[in-house]
Amino acid sequence: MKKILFILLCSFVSFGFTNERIEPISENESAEITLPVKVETYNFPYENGTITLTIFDNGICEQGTVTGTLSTHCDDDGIADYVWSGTICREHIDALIMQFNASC
Amino acid sequence: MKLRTAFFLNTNKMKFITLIVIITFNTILHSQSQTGLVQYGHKQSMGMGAPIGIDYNANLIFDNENSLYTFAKDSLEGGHIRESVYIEKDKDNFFVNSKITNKLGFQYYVDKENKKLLSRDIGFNYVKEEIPTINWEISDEKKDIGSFECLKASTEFRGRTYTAWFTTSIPLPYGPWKLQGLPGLILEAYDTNKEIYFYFKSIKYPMDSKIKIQKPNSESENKEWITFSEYKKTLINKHKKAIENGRMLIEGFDSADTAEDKYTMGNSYIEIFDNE
Repeated sequence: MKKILFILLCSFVSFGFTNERIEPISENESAEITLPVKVETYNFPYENGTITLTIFDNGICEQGTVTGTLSTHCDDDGIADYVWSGTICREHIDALIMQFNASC
Repeated sequence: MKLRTAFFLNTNKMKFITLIVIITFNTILHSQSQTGLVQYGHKQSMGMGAPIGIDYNANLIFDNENSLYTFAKDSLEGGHIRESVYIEKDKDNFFVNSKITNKLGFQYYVDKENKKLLSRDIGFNYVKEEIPTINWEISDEKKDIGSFECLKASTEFRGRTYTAWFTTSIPLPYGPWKLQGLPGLILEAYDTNKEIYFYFKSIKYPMDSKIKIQKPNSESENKEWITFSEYKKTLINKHKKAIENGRMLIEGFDSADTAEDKYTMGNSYIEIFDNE
């Protein structure tokens, strides 16, 4: 059930990423369409199940990069279950947080 | 004459008994009056370099014999909390952390008589250890916290350098979390850059009514007590696994820079262990 929900969530994120870059076409101005970001998802086995990865195939950070650390706690017990530190595209932060939370 | 002597002796005996009763009563009353309650703010900003992190409410209940420090407890926050908190340090740096409470909270119980520190700690592990000996260095520096004049002390403890402010007006060796062993109650304490920051909110001392200080009860959760060494191993392993898990997830992103494994234990936990 969790896996299905996670896949649905990933699909939703992917959908969001795909669509947010399509500019609305106004009749009075020339149509300018930003090509959608290519998004892929794939599964790989991990421990007794599988993890679905979402890949954002966009080499350009439109809003620049940002350095951060991320810590996700899956239970209430104070244990950090997913931690990461590094630099990413600013526009990927929300999706990253969602992916970490959804992985619990 | 004999009767009068007997009456005199009985009267003296009565006076003696009355005196004993009064002394006993006073002793009980006195020991009861030593119960106190300190409310702290408990701020955890591990790895952030400034006190900008997750802020919890915390309590320290104490008497002459024991103390119990509790934080991240549902009832102290007005209900259960589970949320991801996005913290922007500046335009180039961000942190994402979790504010999570639980029913019983994390508990740290100092048993002075038996020299034990009993904790319901991270991972809901019940940890039993000797009260750690903390080598405090006390300076002459003073400041007022609430209505108390406090002295400054500093030390290194489990991977961090702490400064504590304690008051000799309450000459009991307790403090927030596992910090203790000073000749007075600690009202404020913090590590370098205040990544760990226990700050004073209020105090009731002596309290009007006696509060029973209950030690962590492992049986209530069907758990065994573990040693500090076992706890340390568990935490180190969990941390290693968390880095692996995080790396697996981030590899899916097209990050401008590759994920770096610079996430140390100090980014997640108050205690930093040597062989991480």
